[in-house]
Amino acid sequence: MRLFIQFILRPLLGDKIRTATTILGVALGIAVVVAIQLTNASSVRGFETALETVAGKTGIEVVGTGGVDENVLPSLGWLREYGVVSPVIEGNAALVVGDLTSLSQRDLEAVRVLGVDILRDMPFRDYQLLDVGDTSSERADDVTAQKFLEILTNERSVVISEKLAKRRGLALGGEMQMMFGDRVATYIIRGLLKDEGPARVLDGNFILMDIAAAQFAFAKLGRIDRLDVLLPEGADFNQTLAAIAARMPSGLTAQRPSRRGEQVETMLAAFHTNLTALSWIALIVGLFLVYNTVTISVVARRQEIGTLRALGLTRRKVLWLFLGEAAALAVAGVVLGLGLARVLADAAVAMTSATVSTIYIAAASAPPDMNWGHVWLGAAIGLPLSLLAAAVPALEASRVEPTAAMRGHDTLDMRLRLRPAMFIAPLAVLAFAFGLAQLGPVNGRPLFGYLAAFAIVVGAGLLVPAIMFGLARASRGMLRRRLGVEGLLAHANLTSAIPRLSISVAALAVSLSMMVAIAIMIGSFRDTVVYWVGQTLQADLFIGPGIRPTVGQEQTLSAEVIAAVQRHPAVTATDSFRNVDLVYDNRLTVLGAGTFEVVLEYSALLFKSPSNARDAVRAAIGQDSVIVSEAFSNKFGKRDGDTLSLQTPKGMRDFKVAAVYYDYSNDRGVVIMDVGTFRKYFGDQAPSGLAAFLRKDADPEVVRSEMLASLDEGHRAFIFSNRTLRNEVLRIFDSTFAITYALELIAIVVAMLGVAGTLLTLVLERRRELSLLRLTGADRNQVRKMVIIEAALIGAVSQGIGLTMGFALSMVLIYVINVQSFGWTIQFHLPTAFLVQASIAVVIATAIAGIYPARRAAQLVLSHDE
Amino acid sequence: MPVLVAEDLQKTYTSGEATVTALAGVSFAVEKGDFVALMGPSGCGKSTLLHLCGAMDRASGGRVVLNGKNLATMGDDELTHVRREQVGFVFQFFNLLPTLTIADNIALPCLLAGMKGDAADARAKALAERVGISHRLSHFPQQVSGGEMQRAAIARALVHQPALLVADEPTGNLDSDNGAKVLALLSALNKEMGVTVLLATHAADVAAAATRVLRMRDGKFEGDRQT
Amino acid sequence: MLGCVCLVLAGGVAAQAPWKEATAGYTYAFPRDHASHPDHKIEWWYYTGNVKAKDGRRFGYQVTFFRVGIDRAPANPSQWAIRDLYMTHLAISDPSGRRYRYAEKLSRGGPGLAGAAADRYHVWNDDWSAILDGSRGSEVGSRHLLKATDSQVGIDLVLDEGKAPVIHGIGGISQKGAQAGNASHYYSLTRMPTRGSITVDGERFEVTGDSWMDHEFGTSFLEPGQRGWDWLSLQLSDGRELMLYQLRRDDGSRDPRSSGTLVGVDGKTTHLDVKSFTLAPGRATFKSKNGALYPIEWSISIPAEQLELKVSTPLDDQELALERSTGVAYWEGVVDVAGTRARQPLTGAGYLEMTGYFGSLGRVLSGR
Repeated sequence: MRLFIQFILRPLLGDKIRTATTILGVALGIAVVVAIQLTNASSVRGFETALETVAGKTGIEVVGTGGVDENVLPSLGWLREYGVVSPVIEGNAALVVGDLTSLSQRDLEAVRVLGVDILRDMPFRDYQLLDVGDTSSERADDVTAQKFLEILTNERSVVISEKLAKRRGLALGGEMQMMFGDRVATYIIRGLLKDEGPARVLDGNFILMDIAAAQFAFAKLGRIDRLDVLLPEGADFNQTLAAIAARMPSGLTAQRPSRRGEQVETMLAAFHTNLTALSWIALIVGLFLVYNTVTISVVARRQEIGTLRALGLTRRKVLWLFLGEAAALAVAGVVLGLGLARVLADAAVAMTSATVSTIYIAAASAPPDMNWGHVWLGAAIGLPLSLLAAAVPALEASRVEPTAAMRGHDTLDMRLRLRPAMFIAPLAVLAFAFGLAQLGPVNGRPLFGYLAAFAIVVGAGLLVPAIMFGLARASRGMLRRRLGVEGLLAHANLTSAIPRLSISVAALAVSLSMMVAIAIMIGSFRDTVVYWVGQTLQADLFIGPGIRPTVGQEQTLSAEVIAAVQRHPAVTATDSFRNVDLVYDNRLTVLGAGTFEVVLEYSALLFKSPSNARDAVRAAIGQDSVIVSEAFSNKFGKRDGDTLSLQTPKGMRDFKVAAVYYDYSNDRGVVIMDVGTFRKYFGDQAPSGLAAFLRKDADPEVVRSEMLASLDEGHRAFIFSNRTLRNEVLRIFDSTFAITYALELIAIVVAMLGVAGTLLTLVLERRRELSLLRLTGADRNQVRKMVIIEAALIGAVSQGIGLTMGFALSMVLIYVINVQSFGWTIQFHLPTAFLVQASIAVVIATAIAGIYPARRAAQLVLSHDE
Repeated sequence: MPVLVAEDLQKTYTSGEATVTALAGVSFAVEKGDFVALMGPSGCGKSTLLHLCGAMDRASGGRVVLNGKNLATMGDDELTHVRREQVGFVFQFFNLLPTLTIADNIALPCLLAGMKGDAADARAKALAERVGISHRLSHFPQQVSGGEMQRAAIARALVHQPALLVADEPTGNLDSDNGAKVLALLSALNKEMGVTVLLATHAADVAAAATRVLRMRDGKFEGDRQT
Repeated sequence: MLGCVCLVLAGGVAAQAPWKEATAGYTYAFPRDHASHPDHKIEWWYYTGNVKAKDGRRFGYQVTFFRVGIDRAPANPSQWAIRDLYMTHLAISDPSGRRYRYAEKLSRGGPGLAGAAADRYHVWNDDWSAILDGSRGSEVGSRHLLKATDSQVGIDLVLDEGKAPVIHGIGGISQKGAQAGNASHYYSLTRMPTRGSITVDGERFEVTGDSWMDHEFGTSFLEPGQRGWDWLSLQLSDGRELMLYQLRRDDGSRDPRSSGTLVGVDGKTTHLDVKSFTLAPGRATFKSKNGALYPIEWSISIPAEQLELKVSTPLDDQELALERSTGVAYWEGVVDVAGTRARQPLTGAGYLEMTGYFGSLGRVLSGR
């Protein structure tokens, strides 16, 4: 132990920069992995927590596509045999906290609105009224159901959480404005709820309303969102569920409330898996730093090791000493990393929650909660992998001969020759990768795709030494000519250090390849989306409810707003669309209703198949036919001509797939039916959006302002002109991938630290050569320049390999992983400008990483030991 | 005017509390074209004196003047330039960079001094021919014999036509046959190129090749024998 | 005669559109008047009965459907908007088993979840219902079908109308307060042959016996200063029936609007005004868990009819305590009656209702 302190810990504390770099590297790696776990969890957790918080004691819920027709409730009286039944309206609304006239997102705050019949709902949820605005002696906490009802019964009455009241300075008896879809209304606060039960949802952003008031506010007259069933204590859940399911009329589904959470989880799985895969890259690169640091300490202390060995220290003990060093670094890294993970997770949540709520679910992400599981995860991946990374140099240390202390020239034989195995093994792995990329998905997840990507990384990594030998041979003359003596020396140094450098270069190349691959994938994707947007966004104006259009059925347009749009003289046609959640094959997809006539006339969709899609769609009008998005087609293996069985309020119905269209706005899969067909099965539902086509000579901006001006006090809508919506689409697109770039940046920073570390190792290893070089007449500038050239060369080589590897990876991403997990066809497009810029940036960045080792090399004290 | 003049040259090393005196104040002068041997047992200070004269290290006291310039007052960069332009050296072993070929090793001083690659290569080639290793130019140091390595080292030491060649036990690591050949080469080049040679050795037979022998013990000269 | 409960419900909500008052001169028609009268704010259908199982075991049951108007024309078009609240109380007395079990439902109409039809007699609250059965039997609309089953208690009974409806009060209205409108339309079916089954604690009994139905509708009932009432419905062994109620004032005095009806064997009725009878509590009391003290012995004297009756109960605890839903509690239970008519011994059975013993009802009754 004392030996460990003196021989390992003291030097670690002494060489602060190197130690700090390594710990930071490990910490970043761990932090990114844990942070992504936290972030992933938080987006689902946010939804699930909200779900659980609001679900209360609900055992089983009854749901249907597009809600439940309230007129079937009397016929569901038998449900009471299984428990207490409560009809529920639940959705998001916006609390107006700012100026309504400007109507930006800043002026709105999302709130969860629960509408119940309190007479039926009291046993379900833990409502604790804090104050009922009554001077009577009745204690608020045991207010009767009748009294509670009295508080709620007006259509303008709300009960809000005490927390929200405090945060927004709202008082009992006071007024507040809320937006439901495009409708603004004033509500009176008739009661405050303690921070218990459903009031805890979304950090207190909870509004309780009477079911009638909520139904009216959400414009869901005639429909409720679900029926909650409270089972008696001791009831057998599975038996009850089975019994209820058996008696359920078609069109309705009985399920446990958590089922909705699971559906959301499935929906987000692809997005999450992608992030997780990325986060591991940062960790791998971080581990490489451990390898580096332990290598440095072994190299720097060969003579000391030799002395210790000469004094009788066994090989095994030497091995343990250096593994101990790795463990010490890993522990410090894990501790720091867990702290850092919290910070990163907050940032990542901020970056991803926009995506999740824009594209998937409208739920505020709960702040991530770190628990022992995450500490355990950090330790479980950090420690063993660090030890594994340190095993190579630690073994090297244990092989140091006792004589090393005596002689100064036992450095390893660097001049390894190129062996056939260095080609054959990696090429075999790459061929394997190619094979994997041909395989289909497993459970809707591109497992083989990820394996193929991993195999490419491994194969290319293994190929690095061979590539470097090749490059070394080819580049010597050029370097000497172009970069002079320093170039010659740098080349010579690097060439001789290929075995050691290969790991650095491979690590950096892997991170860079991921960056390249993602850049190509995103670039291609963006290009495809730009094209698609250009083809499909044909309308001149797009009208949405006041709250930013998110997936879901809660926000709708009112007849007044639609009338205001249609009334405008410049409007030649409108196409309304309606989205509802559709559970298909146990997965959450979207069912939309659109006006096929208008879609065809203005070619607002881009069809994939069949070739005469437009005729097929025209023929589908008035029929039980649908068109499906490509994502839906790929996910469920349905093509045009196939038949879909969809759950409708009228039971299971078969629909023919008339055509498949391209859609990059939603990876859940979309089924669209003509508005007439939709109305036939799902009844009249307020649209969630409206597209308006204008006369040729009309100025969209002017029309837009005129429409907005014609709305009365009680209505507010977002109207996007074609151009602003396109920008909005791309803005959402870009924000979706912000997290990806951020993760990549971290991986690259860690890799840069690795390059600096490797160069430092080389400098320390080459003390004698550097000294000789200085004696021969090299000045400090020349030495510095040489090391920086080495760094830049490492960067250039890594980027070169990274570009090639990245290109291959992007193929896997675009043609395997994306298709299998999202169901999107992306046209390949090389973002040349970005890649060129990135490559230059990488070379400059690695050169910068070389500055510290260069300074160390130049500061070397001259000596010629004999 | 002497090429090299040392006046009361002192060098002490400090390691912890202890101070070791390597040179206790030596004075001498070497004329251009001299072949001077510094002779003495291990630890007598001859290597230290060689390093000071070769601008590889700085003195603790006194002066050492090479071609009229006082090395004792120079900074690191100036010393580097002095080495690059006026000094060549040959050590007992590890004279060549293992990562460079013999040709690049020989050309290195010229390249470092900023000479064009082709010119440096031409000079290196010429000198390699002179020292008899032109057949080994594209080899790496590990691939040639000890004798060849030392001959390449001598070529490297002279390629930039220095005023002073310092050699520290240049034959110490060679068998007697090769040692003799290297010594003969040094001697011949001393005469042919007129380069001043300062050679440190503990062997009398090596010292015998010199025109002047300075004997050292405990950091001081014992006597100055001219031949 | 359960207006107190309704007033609790109606009390807090101000009426937006005016409700129709009960006014004199109303002409009753049956079965039309069994159906709902939605223009009036408050309405209830009340059934009690003394029944016996085959082995002679005695049970009492009470089931009451209340409709309380909240807002005659709600602004919100939603079906869930509350026009009326429907409350149903179900209670079963088992004197030999010393059991009193009750259940309640409080609902809004919603999409047909609870309601009262105006065109025919059908009131329901979830799956509890009272309906006039016109499909069976020779006489159309002559049977009342009562169904109300909870997990532990339940009734499933068929009631014949028996004697013709008895209209209480004078001029078709039963005056409750000094003001003209503070009255109700009130009739009873006083002796309805009953058969069917009742369930107590999950145990089912086939029963037969006699029931009593009250149907009362109006808009405003009680006035400030009226604390509660004691009400009796008695089926006497001589084939006559007696309904009596006595309104108690805050100061403990007897309100002059107390009254009753005596129904003859042939169905002829005698109105009893406040001066024609006395109704006095005896010594025995029952103190309930919530602290209310109920007199459970009463003496009736109707000098003009030579009636002297003692009312007692075979089961002391027959209190419905509904703190969680409406905060109301009242005593409603089976009673036995024994006494004399013109010195001839007379017995009977019936139901006793005592309200205004729990909490300060006066505040609520005074309309705020």
